[in-house]
Amino acid sequence: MVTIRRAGSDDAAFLLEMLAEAASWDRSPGSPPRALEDVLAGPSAHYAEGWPHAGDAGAIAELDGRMVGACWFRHLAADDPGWGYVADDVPEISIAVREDARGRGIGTRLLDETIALARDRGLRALSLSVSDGNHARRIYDRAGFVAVDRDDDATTMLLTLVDLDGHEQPGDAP
Amino acid sequence: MNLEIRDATAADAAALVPLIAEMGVGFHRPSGADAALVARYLEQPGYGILLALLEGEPVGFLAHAKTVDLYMGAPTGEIVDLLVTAQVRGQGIGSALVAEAVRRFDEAGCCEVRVVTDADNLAAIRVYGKAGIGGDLISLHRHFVDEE
Repeated sequence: MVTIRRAGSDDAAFLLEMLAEAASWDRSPGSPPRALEDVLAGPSAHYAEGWPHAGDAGAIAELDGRMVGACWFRHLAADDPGWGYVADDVPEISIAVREDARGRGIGTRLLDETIALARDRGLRALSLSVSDGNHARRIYDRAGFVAVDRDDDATTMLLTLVDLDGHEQPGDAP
Repeated sequence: MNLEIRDATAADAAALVPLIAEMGVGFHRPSGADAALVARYLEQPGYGILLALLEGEPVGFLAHAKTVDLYMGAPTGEIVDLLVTAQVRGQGIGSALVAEAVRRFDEAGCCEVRVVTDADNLAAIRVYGKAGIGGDLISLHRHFVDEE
């Protein structure tokens, strides 16, 4: 059975593991999984290191009591931007599900829960960056994320939650 | 993706009209632009439009204008309007237009690039921010037409 719960301060180590999992999305020949220590030494580390920072929030998925996935957001400022940086007040999403737990809709449930957390906090938008060829793109499309820009091999996507007049945007796509 | 960015000429004026109109999607006032107005805009010294063509089809534009910063004694570049048609957004076409405009402003000795955009237009803010265009100035304006 899959359960989704909020991520807490005890989940720091698991989120780092999930960050390495997210960095290892490309399982094509010639693209071996990224080792945790390599990811932590690289430019992606700031998505999860030091969890929790002020403003961080996320969700953990457990399958029969075992943690198998996580989705979370973090504010990364312009002086240390993430790949999908839009604005200082727009946090960026990270998400991963262990390979042996995929195909059960866990990613979608994690993303929905994380979007709900962002709405609860009154955040106006969430962003993310997805590499070309990453099948996770389809769950972002379904959740209502819209492509707004591209870099060499990745797309920046944005989900608007509240406009400046304080009007909530339409919820999840039907 | 075969993307070309080039200067619009009077021959492009008719193709620019529907793109200009698309800036007002969701806004109750129809666009006042027609091909003659676009052609006149292009004729003015210091004014121009960069046109983005995807596989040869016009899909976006960036209208620009130069003014002078009196204190600095140097030209300033303004991005007047930016639009990428809805079907092809998110592919970096806006970024390509902005990068080309910034490169030209720099080459022309401009001391600054200026842009006014809606504070809730996060897609535009992302694109401008990536080009190093940001800040916390506020834009003050008064409309002479009914906005409601």
